[in-house]
Amino acid sequence: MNLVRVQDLADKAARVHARDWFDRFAKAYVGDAVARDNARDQLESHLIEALESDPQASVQRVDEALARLGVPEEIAAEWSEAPLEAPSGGARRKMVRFAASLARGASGILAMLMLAAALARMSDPQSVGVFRLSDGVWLLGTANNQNVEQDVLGAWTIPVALALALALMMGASAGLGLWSAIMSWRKKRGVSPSS
Amino acid sequence: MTDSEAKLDRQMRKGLLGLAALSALAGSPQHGYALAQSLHAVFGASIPEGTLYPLLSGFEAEGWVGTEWDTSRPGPARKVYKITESGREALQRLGTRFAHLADAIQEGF
Repeated sequence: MNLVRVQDLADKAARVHARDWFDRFAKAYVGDAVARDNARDQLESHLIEALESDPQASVQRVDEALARLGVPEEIAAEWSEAPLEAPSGGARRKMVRFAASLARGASGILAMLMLAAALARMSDPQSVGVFRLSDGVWLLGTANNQNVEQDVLGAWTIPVALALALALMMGASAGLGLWSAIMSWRKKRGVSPSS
Repeated sequence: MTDSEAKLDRQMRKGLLGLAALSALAGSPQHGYALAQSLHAVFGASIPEGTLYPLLSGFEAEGWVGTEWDTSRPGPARKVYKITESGREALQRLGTRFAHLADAIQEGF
């Protein structure tokens, strides 16, 4: 079986040494996570080739290959000095990143509001919830002195608010992961000035 | 070799690494590891292999090399670097300048 990732090295010491090297690289790297992971993948691929994809590579062999690769902090510093993105894509990427941040922020705020609504319902079940008023108007929020005809969600108000809060928080988190995955995929599609 | 000479030698090799990498890529597209091995044969162990990748990343941003991901084998995808027309032109210009410098150094100013 060929070595696919350094974490699959059979020798524990070799695995730990390789992991430490890449941890030091990641820590020293200045730049966004997608570019860092891209850089890390290239270095890991290099190391695996140096080990001839041998999962049984000894710790001495791994140490030698890592020594040839260089000092992780120095490599990370060199990478930070190199421009990583073509200028033409930079502005658009920043705008998309800004929009994604806004969406994540909005999701987080809505999640907090849902959580607050659930807590408010606990303390004042008669006034907080989703209501249908006697004049047919629907009300989402607090009913103060209004003529409530029906408490639409009733006992489900708190579970629904909590579920929405959780879903929004997970959505914000998944959005971040999805964003990283899309950027990584776009990079791996092959960004080529020549093609 | 004295310490000063070794330091100068290391600086010279590091400075020429980019030009040599472009020159090697002008021969054929290569992925990072293969390129590092080609350069190692000329530059020896004085240059850490990992420094090649940020250099190539800079070339990519400059438009001197294009890249494709080779996913034909298991494990992390390998980036294959291919010199562009702009890269060849840069190599031509830099190569000419280097030749002038080398001549001047050999023959004296």
